[in-house]
Amino acid sequence: MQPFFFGSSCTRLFGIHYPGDPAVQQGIVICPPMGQEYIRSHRTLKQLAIRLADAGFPVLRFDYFASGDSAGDSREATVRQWQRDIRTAIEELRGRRYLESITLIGLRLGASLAASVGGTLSFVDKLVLWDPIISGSEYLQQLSADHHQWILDIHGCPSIAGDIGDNQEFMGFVFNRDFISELQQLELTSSAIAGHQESMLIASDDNTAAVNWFKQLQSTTGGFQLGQHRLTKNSTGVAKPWQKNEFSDKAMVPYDNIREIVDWIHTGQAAGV
Amino acid sequence: MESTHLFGQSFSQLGIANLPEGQEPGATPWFLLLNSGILPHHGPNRIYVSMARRLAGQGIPSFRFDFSGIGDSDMTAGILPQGNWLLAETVSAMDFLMQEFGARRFVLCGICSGADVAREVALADDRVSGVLQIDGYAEPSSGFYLRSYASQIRRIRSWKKLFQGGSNLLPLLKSLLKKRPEDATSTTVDTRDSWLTLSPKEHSQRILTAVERGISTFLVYSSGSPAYYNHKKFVRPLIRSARHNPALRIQLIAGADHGFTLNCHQEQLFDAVEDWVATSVLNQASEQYHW
Repeated sequence: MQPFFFGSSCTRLFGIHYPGDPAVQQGIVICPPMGQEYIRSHRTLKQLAIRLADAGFPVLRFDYFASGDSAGDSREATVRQWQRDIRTAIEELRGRRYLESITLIGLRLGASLAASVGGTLSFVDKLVLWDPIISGSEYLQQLSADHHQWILDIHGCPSIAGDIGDNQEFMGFVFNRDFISELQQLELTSSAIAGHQESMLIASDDNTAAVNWFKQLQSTTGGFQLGQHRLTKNSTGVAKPWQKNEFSDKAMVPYDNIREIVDWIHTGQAAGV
Repeated sequence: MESTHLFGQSFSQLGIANLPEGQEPGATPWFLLLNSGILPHHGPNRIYVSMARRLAGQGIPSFRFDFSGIGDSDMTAGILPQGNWLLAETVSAMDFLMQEFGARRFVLCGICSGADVAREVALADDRVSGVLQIDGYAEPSSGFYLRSYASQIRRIRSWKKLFQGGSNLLPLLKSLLKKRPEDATSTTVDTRDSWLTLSPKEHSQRILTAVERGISTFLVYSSGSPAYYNHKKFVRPLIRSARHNPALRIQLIAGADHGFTLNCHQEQLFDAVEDWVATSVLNQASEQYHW
């Protein structure tokens, strides 16, 4: 494990590099979710990185600008900046040693951003999309509803609004108008996945948008080899760590899903439906 | 300027130092930001990251780090019981900062369980000159249970849960009827061996001991969750005993939940800490109680 800061001086990013086996030429970049989902899934993504590194892969786990330990406040975040950050992270990993290909693994918004960036890069040949956000506007509605429900639960009244001037707050994380507008327009389309790429989707039972999106992807890419796109349904009921309350003191890690991801990247095999 | 560090046994613990530009590292105390339960070193809602950067603005260096097995630190093959391990690793972080940066004095800050770790290390290590306990131990009261259940009584789904056997109300009532720690005889638990099993009175006494030793102590409590703990009952004897001792400061942030989730409450917390740092940590006159 090698923690470090990288990127430009005004948007310094925090990352942890897991070197893996020097002989392995497939690198992996992990793209986290945002806000509360970042906090709640931190342990899951750490465990994922450790297991991938144990399997030999060089891995880079990092924080977007204005999140985690990276520079900046959430008010300064933009979706475009976070997409740039993924590219910067990829370049950082590739700069450490020769890598033939890169796999991007994204969780929630990280999955949508990974798909949007990965589709434009020829050396990104695998994508793991874990409960991706298909529609940014629906996600915003959900974040807003969660914020207000939480206030209602905690304070018993909806008196504390989520709007702070031009900014909007989602449970402790304040985002600017540009970010909200960019997220509003974010749509994950099946064309985001490039023809040469293999992909794996892990979708929770209730993420029907993601399942439908993936089925559309499978049907529109019928010309590619069988098994290029895999769908793993997450039906264990509780394996959604990003929805867990942070103060529950229960570090919930969906090890089954982690194992599936590692197996799929390692051998190309994973249980699919 | 922030920098990453690996330290501790087998260099498997991660810490991030924030050293203000142009600052002599040993000139002012270092803030150590301790894990809150199993939450990573960012703190709940990234509070520690923001706090570290605000402190840097006041010329105060800080170090946020993860205990073994928490956040970004690896699990080490530890042999100590949980409580002692947390204390030992806090001391180890201070040793590291002394060696690496020439740090001499420390202020320990913890939220929830981290607050109690901070106090215990302060009592055991002379290098600690201040303690910031945010929502540290306070005794759960009957009022807490009443208030938290009052809101649920109004909800139909709570009644459904009760009749379907999914409610924890009955086990809770049973546990309330059990003997409370402060009523227990001194032979049942040897609290000298484990600070994790202290009674409310002992917690309170240990805070007073720290204050009497001149350790600047700032107790911050939230109130917005359905009365998470009975802060008022807990702090009343403290205020009574240390009324004229400038080393103790207590503040309630009204409306804030246990994790200081909302931005407005985070800002109030940061302002309170900044004021305490300016007036007490950097040794200037202060107003003691903001209750």
